[in-house]
Amino acid sequence: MSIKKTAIIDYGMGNLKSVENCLNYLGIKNSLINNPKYLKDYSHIILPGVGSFKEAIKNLRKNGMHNALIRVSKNKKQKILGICLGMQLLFSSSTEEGFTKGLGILNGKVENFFIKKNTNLKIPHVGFNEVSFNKDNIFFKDIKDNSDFYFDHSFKITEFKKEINPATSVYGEKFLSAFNVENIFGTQFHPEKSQSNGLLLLKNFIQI
Amino acid sequence: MLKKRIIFSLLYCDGYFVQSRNFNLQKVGDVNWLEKNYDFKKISYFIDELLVLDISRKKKNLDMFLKNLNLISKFCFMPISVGGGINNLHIVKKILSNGADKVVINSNLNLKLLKEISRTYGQQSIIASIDYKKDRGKYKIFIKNSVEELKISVKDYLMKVVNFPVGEIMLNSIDQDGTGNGIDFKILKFLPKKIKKSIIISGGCGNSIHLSEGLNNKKVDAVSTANLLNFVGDGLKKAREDMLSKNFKLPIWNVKTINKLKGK
Repeated sequence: MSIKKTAIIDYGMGNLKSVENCLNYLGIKNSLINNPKYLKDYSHIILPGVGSFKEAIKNLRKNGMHNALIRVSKNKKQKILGICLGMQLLFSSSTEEGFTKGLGILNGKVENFFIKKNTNLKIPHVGFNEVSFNKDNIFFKDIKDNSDFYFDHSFKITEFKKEINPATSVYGEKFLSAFNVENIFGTQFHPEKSQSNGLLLLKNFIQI
Repeated sequence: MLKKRIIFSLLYCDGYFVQSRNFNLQKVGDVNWLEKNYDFKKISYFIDELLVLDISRKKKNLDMFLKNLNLISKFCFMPISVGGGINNLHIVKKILSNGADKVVINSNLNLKLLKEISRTYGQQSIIASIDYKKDRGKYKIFIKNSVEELKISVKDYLMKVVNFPVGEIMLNSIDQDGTGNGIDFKILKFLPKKIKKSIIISGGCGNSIHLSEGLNNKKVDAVSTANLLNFVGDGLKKAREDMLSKNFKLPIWNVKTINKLKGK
């Protein structure tokens, strides 16, 4: 794909306006897409997410986005960025409200912070926390190691392979705060809510 | 390491932004005034979170409020929490589609509504807000802009709210509100011992010393100020710089970078 076009998936759950505001500020043209048949026209696809994993999968199935996203993930010329719940949806499953299968684009389980023996940990993990990554990580170009990004979540991914270029944070335990492997990117934090660090990250995603 | 937060609260009433003192309101200016005197585009670069509350005394005009919210949030790249008379899922959906990331619920803190909202948006999208004041030496809980007193003890109410499906709890002192006399920390004694929800304290912050005192308290995760007049101009910028220079563990980002990143 020679022309860069950015889509933000509208599936009824996500702070779309915040992502739009950032991209507009950066001068990156973007469109809200709720019809999967148009996905093939976009080089960069952002899957935002605020809310329940179960409800999100239900909504993605309802408008056909579920299978469309899996198809897009196999096309190396198209890049996907999952934000917060959007990142979690890319994995195999979540134990939020029972057991729900995710898109399965990556292997991994989304679990409650409670599962490990943490005492006195406030849930959700809300506020700015430090994100640690390898210095040659292209996703984090121009960003200082251990920079602060905004988180607001009760579930996380703790088991992951280093092949996905993981960025990690600590809250009671170490967990996956971002990753990028081939054409799939994800952030547990909200780059659209993380001031300069987040703007840089979004710019990096579009420029890759 | 998780950092603590400085939250700025904008109080909106019938089309205007107001200064509040013990919940009595003084009209200050509309969104254009805000833009001129606060250069809101720049203020947002110095705070960790923004709260916008519709505390309109007359019949609420949601569409006008949302128009204002849209204008304010356009250049805010940090979390925005919005509240004011939320009593159904439909309003929550509209608010979250117009620039807000979280909703603030105060007068309608009931399990039925909270379950409904958290089922779709998750409990991390809800801040439970509690207004309180001292009446004949005893703390009392008030709702509906401090007009109606709840017949439940502060301790029991806090225990109830702590177990609700909400993400954070905001404690707002009506007595300290707008006085610039500092934060009331005594309310924290009424919280259950091992509290598992983040606590935002509000009411009485007039300067950076108060903000520092708030963030220094072990039980406090975030401090909020709604003092529009005290922090006008570059008050918020100076307060943050002052605290960072004293090695306060606040989130760090680069404001020059935000300006440099503006696209054509």
